[in-house]
Amino acid sequence: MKFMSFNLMPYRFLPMDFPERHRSVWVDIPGHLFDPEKGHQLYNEYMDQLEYAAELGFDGICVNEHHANGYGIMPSPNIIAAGLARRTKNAAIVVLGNSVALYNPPVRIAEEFAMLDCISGGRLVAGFPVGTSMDTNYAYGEVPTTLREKYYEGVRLILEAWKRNEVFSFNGEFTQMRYVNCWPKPIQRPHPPVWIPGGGSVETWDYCADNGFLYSYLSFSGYKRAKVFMDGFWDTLARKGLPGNPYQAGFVQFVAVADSDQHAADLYGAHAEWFFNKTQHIYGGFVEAPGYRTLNTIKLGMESQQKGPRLIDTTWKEMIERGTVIAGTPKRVTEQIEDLCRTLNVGHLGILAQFGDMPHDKVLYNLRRIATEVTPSLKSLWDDRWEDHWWPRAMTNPRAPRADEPALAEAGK
Amino acid sequence: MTTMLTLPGGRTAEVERLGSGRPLVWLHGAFGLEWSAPLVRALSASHEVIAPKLPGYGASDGLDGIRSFFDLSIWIDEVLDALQIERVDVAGHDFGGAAAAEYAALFRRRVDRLALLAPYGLWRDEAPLPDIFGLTPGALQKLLYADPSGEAGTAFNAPLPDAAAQNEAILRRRQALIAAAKLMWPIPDKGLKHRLHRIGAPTLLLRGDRDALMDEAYMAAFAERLPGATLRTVAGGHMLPHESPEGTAAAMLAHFARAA
Repeated sequence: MKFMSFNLMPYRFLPMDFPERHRSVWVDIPGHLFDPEKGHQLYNEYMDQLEYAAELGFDGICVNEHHANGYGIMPSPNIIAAGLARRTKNAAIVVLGNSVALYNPPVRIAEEFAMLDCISGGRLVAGFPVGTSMDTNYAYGEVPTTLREKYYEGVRLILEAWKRNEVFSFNGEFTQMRYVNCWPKPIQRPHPPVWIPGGGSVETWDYCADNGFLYSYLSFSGYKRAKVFMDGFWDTLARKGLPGNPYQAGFVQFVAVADSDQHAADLYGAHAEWFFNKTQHIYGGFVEAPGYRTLNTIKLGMESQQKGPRLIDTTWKEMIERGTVIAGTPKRVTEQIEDLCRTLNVGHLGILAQFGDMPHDKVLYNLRRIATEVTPSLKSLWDDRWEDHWWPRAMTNPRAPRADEPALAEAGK
Repeated sequence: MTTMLTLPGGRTAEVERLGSGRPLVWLHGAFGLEWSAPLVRALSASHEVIAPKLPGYGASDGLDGIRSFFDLSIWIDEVLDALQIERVDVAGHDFGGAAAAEYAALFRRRVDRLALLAPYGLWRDEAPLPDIFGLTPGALQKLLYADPSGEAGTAFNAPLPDAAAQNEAILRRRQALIAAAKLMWPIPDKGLKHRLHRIGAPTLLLRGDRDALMDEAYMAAFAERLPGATLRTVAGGHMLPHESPEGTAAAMLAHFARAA
């Protein structure tokens, strides 16, 4: 079982009356609410948190991409990942990921991921999300009807660019290049493990199954509500005669460790409520552009009465009951995470230890308790039966960042 | 009468044909042909109205192959070929207005007279268009209708008694916007300004006097590039064909008679 520390990087200084005064935390969030000096503080705190998580023994650290978004101030996860790659040694750098259709040409992703893989010594996980409708269609102006087509074409181009050493031409519907030549190449050959974060599209299950990619269901509503989506993936694999290896899946979960249930509520309750009641406040007109999901997927959703991945207006008590947040003593949290992993059959869990407006010291406390009192006893969960083919294969003897430049400079004369 | 045409490549075009007289091609707006049914009926008193459902709407397929207004113009031309109609009058509303203008600019020799009702196709920085693809149904109703709580306005989002019919209506709305968004996302200026000068047909530019979506600036922008065009307003909001069919039909028929 692999555990990753995932940080969404919320702008935790939004005014308390945000939902009353503004219609959306995403797409048209007012610019004056961003204070760049607070931004300085937050980026550095969040990177400290991810680096500390790596030091504590999390298997990986995880970043993602959002645009014009008050709960995720990371339009470029690759910039953050580059910083993390220099300051960590063993943790996988899980970029979950780059929204492929937003990069022109998509070879830019092949190049930047290859750079990250080289800098980190082969520790990169390459995540390729379609991206939410808010990010791709509204904030970035991509045509919803052709977004997925452009995305699939882009992923195909990136993989080709990594695999092939000869210069080649690419005549796509959305990208035409006379000379494709990804220079540098990644350390991991033929390419880093590919993870596909998805919201619950039927098409994504087939795509992962057919290409051997990892399916990561991204939802903030917790594991109980996620079961129908993960089961959809496992059913798809079974129908195609493929093994249900838990390592072909990932999930994210809010986790909060304390001395007792009451202690957890006191420490973390307000921050979780802040996350759901402030930062999930999204204008209805922006939730899904026409064409973002195919008619087929919408129909299936209607038939199975699927609930969307977003929760709003919820209380700590409801979050605990629904499994949106797993919180309490280390023993209780360990039991529930084991239940989550077995219920969903997942081998990679991204743990959100920072949520809402949780301050820095509290995050570090939560991370330390998770890494020392919860995850160690769960790491061998799947070892007896399954092998992880979706984890980075780092190089041996990577060069560590060093601090002896003055001496070397002297020796170089 | 509904006709299913087979176009080259085996594609299907669903076409409504109503009335008799000079053929008039009607190109519906972003929300689909159902929202211009009253106008189509009014026009059919004196014309044979040929109203295709644009690709992606109703049973008209082939949206995959429509990537621009250029492709859409060719599709319209193929519909006329399949109907064996040589010369036509063309009218369109909203999204269909942009399609009508594009068609009349590209296939200028086939179009005798043209009417553009609150047409998309241009962009003015000083009067940015509201984003119909980024509004809730309730907000759309307020934007599109002169009287959002009137009969036409409330019909736009009227809840249906049974769940299956309701789901079907939701899917039909989605299907309509998927097709319109494909050509008009994220800003509906796709270069028509470079082609408008080619339009030779006498053109009517018609707008509802209370249209909250299509600012007057847009009619002025069209008129600037179509010096011979007739600029008129009728009482109504943006959804003229649905909310104000009589006044709209009268203005259109007057134009067609004058330009005959």
